[in-house]
Amino acid sequence: MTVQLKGRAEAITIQWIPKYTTLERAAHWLHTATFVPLAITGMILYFPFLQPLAQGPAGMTFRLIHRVAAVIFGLLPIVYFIFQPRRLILNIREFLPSKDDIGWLKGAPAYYLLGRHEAMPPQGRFNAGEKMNGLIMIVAWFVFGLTGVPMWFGKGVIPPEVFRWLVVFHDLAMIVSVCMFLVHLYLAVAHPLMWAGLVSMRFGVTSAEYAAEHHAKWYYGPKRAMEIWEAKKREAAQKGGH
Amino acid sequence: MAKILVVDDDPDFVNLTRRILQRKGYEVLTAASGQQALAVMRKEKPDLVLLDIMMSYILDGLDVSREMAQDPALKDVPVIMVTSLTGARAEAASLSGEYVPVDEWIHKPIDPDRLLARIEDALKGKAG
Amino acid sequence: MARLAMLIDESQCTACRGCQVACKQWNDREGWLYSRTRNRGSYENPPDLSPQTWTRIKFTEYEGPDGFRWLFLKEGCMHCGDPACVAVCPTGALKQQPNGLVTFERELCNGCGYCTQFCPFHIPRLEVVNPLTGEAKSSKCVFCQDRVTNGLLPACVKTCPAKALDFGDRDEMIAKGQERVKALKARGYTQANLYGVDQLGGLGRLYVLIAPPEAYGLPANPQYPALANVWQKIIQPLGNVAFGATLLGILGAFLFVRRKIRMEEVR
Repeated sequence: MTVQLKGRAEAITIQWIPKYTTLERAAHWLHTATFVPLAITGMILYFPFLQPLAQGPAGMTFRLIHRVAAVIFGLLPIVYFIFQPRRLILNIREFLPSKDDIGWLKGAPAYYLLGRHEAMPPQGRFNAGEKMNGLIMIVAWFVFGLTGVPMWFGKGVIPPEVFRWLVVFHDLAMIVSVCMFLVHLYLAVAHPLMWAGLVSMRFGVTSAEYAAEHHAKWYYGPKRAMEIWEAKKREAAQKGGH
Repeated sequence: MAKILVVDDDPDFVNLTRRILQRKGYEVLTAASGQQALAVMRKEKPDLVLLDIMMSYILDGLDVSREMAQDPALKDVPVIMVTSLTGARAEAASLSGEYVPVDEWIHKPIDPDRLLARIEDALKGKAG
Repeated sequence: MARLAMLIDESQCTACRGCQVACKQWNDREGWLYSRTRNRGSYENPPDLSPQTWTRIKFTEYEGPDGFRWLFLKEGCMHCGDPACVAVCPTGALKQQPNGLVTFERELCNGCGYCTQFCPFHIPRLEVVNPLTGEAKSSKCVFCQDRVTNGLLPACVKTCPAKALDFGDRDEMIAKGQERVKALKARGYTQANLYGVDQLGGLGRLYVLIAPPEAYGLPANPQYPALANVWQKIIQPLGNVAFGATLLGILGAFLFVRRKIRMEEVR
């Protein structure tokens, strides 16, 4: 694909490689479409300054929206698993921590804040930040479900002392996942280096050059990715005059 | 009949292709990654390799074909590259801009008759 | 404004249950909807508080050091000095008034049910219209907030034929209760006690009891639910800090990165 960007003299060519299946993308966007209303309607009960919205028939409507969205939110991974179990399991495996993550944590400030490309060791299909996002969302899904379902149907059935714990954990999961969501939103939409992220989640393809840079282990394979990185570090060191 | 190695990390593709080939009478070996494929090749010496590009990592298939070209035992084995990458560029050069030693390219989703015809041609080319 | 309280003298109560009837009559509660009478081997009826039953006499047979006693307890909202239900109510339907009453505005209630789960005495009841959608309203004794603010006594107090109920300035009610306990002890009720003076910021419902609170099923030392405190006073503020820090961090990173990374260099 040939693209002419504003402000650049020559056109650039982008080679697209597939990254996300249609179901993966649909699941992601449906997850977003339910997570946001859930967070907002939940926050109406959480923030005292939103108290007027929580009252009376309006409050009951927001609670109803919360429940409808919750059902879809809860069923989504299950439906995903029914249709593409291998893909879901592959993704979950890619989210699990690995040694690359330590390298990512060490290199993240220099890379994301200062743009120093040689500071970041080669990453796999998901880097540590993306893994954190995925794992937090998965854990939050379990916590929301395991607390939310009894909160919905269990009043008068489960002991109030247990119910109080459910509310507390429901809140904690909300705080953690919403903070993660805000960071995710920023990186996906606003950070200049992450431009291909949103493209890949919308269209399923990512630029080969982008993948070579940001997910070198996934692109070149572990051995060659390390070789390329060592070369890049040497080059930067020479330029820096160390 | 000839021995064909099908290399792809997608089990559905492997099963489908195996059925097509076995019905024609070919003996079918399989592998799910580049590393596995090279190990099987060195042990079983297939007559032809059907190679997917993106497996354990994006350039996996390309690295395999490159290693085959450099291995005296394997460099004469015909390779048909199977790819879901579209566009003429995929055939002319690789994603990293280097030359890829491959006998044929074929696009997914595969047309069984086309695949069998290409395999026949490649095997004949080898024999003759 | 002085704090008001109800004094319930369980040594005078004859368990006639006129208070149950008066409460239902004044507050338009149903007679048999939730309380269909069934012989359970006790005069006690209804079997529990409910959205239709805001006060109830609980019958307990008790064998104590002074001999056999048939204990009667008039259950209902304790109108705590430190009400957990008010703290967890997200709509402000439950409010603590300057006169100490914990009042309830039904129109504001959204049916979340948190009050029913955080009350240390398990008093408020949820009237569920639809369990799927969650449409519901909370329900509890409000010390006849409409009568009291117009200078009248609560309906139950007005009707009690045994003069076991009194309602007025809390300090006066405490003094009266303590006198009564002294008199009971002198007459041989060795376990007589006044319940509600100091618990949970002082209860608005004071009991003269002739046996220890546990004998009546009352918690001797009711605690403000620790999780309510954790939830409201620790987690919520921390959550706000977390959100604020995240947003500021993102804004800071965005402004900082704009200076350091040029779009033209991005591959």
